[in-house]
Amino acid sequence: MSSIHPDLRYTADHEYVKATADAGVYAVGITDYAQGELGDIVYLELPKAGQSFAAHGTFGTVEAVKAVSELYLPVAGEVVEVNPRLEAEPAVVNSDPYGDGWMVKIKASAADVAALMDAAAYTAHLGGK
Amino acid sequence: MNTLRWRLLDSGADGGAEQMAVDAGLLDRARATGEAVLRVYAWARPTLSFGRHETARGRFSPAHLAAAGVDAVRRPTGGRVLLHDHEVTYSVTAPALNDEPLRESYRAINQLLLDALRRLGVAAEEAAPAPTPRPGSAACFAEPNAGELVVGGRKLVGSAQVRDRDALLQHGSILLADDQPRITHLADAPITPAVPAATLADALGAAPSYERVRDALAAALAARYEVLPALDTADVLAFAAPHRTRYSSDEWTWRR
Repeated sequence: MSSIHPDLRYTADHEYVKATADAGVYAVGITDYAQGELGDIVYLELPKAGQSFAAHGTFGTVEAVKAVSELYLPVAGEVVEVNPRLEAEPAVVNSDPYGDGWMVKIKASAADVAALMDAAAYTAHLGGK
Repeated sequence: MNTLRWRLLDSGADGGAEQMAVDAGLLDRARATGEAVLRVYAWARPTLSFGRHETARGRFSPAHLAAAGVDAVRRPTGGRVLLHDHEVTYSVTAPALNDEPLRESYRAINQLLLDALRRLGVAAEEAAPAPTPRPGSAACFAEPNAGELVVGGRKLVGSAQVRDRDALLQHGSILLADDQPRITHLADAPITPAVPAATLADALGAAPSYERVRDALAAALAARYEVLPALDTADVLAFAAPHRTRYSSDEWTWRR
């Protein structure tokens, strides 16, 4: 059973959105279920601060155990910060997906974020996985 | 993958950029048609392929490779550097099925490959789990990863996958003979030398023909899936066309 945090928002593609201390700024990463499915993460290709993406747009790729997967931004937004630690330590996404393993921080609309799945809906989406 | 309809495609030998463009095009075709394709191909010239995120600059140089008569491409898939020469290459493209976990598709394709190898008379098996190295630290056949196909603990088939929410591509090399030690001589910087790979030539006493390996793959496919009439390479050129620019460009190949 994967870990799901009650106060985050989620997508069917297994990304999460987490409020930060700054109003309108959210951390985005992949869920515990997603990191478990991928296996050991060896490389992340992430955007630069200042880049903007549409909702569900591809904002990067993650390489794990010889498979490359796309990363989708859950809501439209502008990247304001990229997690600098992941360049050297991509495995932090495996060990702490909801904490130190965040990938980008984005400026986004609170209404867009509120429209994503809550923890109960994401739990149902996983169907006990 | 059991519910998919499959097609076989024999593309034969061609340049590396074209082979990568066709694999990428087949990923689009899987999305567009809902069909899976098992493709078999070969390399017109010895070609080094870099993993999607792997560092090539500083480790290899276009001039050195050109002098050695070796082409270079960068794959859409992950993993590490590989020299394609005496091998039969396979690719599987398939639409994503109800969020099927990655390792299940990897396993289904491995079962297909293991069946084909058994038909050739080779008793291969899946490698046991081991820690995964970072891309850029070694060559692809240097050590087997969990789930890869080995004979006597040595890697026979190296595979890599890319997927998005709609489809997946997995391709890999079934070694006829071991060209991988040449990578050390093609590199400008020291790289971890490849441990001897397993080859079909070693396992069978002589390398089987491309056609024999292709036919074993086709028989393994037909034994487990519904297979529609084979595709012609001409049928997939329209899907490959939008990808040619990327895979033939130095900007992509030498981007890192």
